[in-house]
Amino acid sequence: MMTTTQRYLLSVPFLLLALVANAAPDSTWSTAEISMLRSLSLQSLQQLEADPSNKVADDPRAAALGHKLFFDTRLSRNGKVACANCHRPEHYFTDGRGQAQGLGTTPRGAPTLLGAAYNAWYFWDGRRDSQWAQALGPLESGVEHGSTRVEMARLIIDDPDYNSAYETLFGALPDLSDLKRFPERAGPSSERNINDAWRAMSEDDRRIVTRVFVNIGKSLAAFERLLLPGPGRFDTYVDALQAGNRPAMAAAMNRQEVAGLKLFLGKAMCIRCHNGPLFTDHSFHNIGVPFAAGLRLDWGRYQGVQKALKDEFNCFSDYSDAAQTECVELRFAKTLKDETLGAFKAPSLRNVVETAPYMHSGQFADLDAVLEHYNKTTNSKKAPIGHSDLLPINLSAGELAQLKAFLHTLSGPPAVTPELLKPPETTGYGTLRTTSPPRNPVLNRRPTTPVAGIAAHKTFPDSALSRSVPGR
Amino acid sequence: MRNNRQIKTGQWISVCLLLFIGLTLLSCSDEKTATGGKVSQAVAPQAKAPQNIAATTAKGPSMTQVSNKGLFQLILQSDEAPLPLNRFHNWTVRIATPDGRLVDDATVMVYGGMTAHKHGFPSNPRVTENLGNGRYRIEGVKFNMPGRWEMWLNVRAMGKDDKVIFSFDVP
Repeated sequence: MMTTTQRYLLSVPFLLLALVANAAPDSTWSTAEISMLRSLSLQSLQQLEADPSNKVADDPRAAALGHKLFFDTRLSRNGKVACANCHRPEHYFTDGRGQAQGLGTTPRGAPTLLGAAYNAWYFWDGRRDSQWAQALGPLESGVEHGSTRVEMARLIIDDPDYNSAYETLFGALPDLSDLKRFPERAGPSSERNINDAWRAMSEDDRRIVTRVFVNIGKSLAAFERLLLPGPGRFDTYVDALQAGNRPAMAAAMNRQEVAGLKLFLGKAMCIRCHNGPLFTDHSFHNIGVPFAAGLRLDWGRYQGVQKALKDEFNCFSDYSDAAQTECVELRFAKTLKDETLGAFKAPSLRNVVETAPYMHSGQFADLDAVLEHYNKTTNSKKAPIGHSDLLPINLSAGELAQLKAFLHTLSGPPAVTPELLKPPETTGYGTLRTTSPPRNPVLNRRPTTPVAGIAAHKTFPDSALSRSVPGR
Repeated sequence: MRNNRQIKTGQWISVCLLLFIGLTLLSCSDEKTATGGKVSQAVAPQAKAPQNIAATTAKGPSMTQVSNKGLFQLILQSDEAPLPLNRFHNWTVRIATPDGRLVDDATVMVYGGMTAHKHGFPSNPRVTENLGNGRYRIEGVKFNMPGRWEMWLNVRAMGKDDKVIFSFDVP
């Protein structure tokens, strides 16, 4: 038989074990997890690589021209639609709609432009392979700007500011004064008379006009490359974690949010597609999203990649400044039907709380609906078209709440020079401070208030617009 | 005798548990280091070496496998280590017969993906150049998720076909 002393001694290790287990904080991360957290933080965002297809991509003069074009409603048929209508700066460059509205309604939503320059493919189905080529699409779409190539080229020629800025960057503008050679309204269009007028032009004349049109896109892209997301409380948390500053960690994210972050990395498997500092792998996935009400079958990436390969503005085209060997994405684009059918581009989760509704056509009004969609996944792989890539995650209601709480920590004012968030008229065209993007866009820190009690604000505070951005 | 054995057993249990507690505390203190003041060492960007891969050169990790039917021996090596996420990079494969003769006239098809997640590569990698001496360059490789990936190489040479599957972890 054991003596009382022996029994006491035997119980000590158990008591110690219990104490250690209780004392372990929920914010303790393994080395592997810390490595993952670093990879998600904006501190890991590499400097934007050059776009070989756009030789003016990082030219501040092109960005200044693009800035003006971005807010210019004259680039539309009714004089009321600018890029900024759907990509609203005060709304994280989105419009709060599931389907964008210009002259009509598009079948898909306008995604944010913050960090979009890091994409390899543009539009939800990736049917364009550069930011400048993307910018051209809405300009001549009948349900968006509804303008035509000839009209837009004429605007550049006729506006003295545009004219001089353009010629400085791209050389002499063409003479389009002959209305027989260059009709008033002509361009590729779903409207027959506009399209017929374009087809009636000689191939050389079409090229002359298209060259100006392309340079509008390249200038818009130069501007859009300056639009980067700013750090959220998540980034503050990771900074504090690395500095070993526990009070700052606790101030940046509460226990609920930290628990949600753990789920994000682990059980919920969000990190499979939403990885990297922009919380996206920039790739295409079929997640079995239902079709939006009233919309027809959407084939997604399966059609998108075919369009990109045949696109008149792709990286291989004469309008691209890249050598063919530099067109790596296009050369190695995946076309396999089984893996592209019904797939859409994974969006960035930066500022996700501020940019409802969700999915490519706004199928889900709020984050609860999004999380419910993921959580009801079974092993069936069933999807409205193709097959779903999702795996079951089986989260409890409490875990869903934690995950949602974590997503609130990804919001932060854009890391954009304040002048670029407004039309250039207010500062005077040509006097803009437009320099290359900062090497590390982690610029100003937000107050590190935990999420409890934070209302999902639809626009970032005015103070964010007036703050100074160092190092620009 | 019986009492003595019970006491000895009790002592051994205590000693083992104390040792266990000690080790637990030690590992906890490591964790604290990771979230404490010496994080920079704990989170050094060097990722752990992927399984199945032994880093053999400065260029990148390499893997050796004999094809399914035993017709070819392949050495697969990435140009970069650790394997990058969401970025194109190149690999090189060296093909020989089991007795060591280099295979210079092979047609190699590249497939792969994440079997556990039932999806392929986000891109369409392929052999773009025969480098000679049994070596072939594979371009267009990109991994868009961390985790276990496979690269399948179908080799046709000397009128025969064989294939091999390489498995590795992307950090």
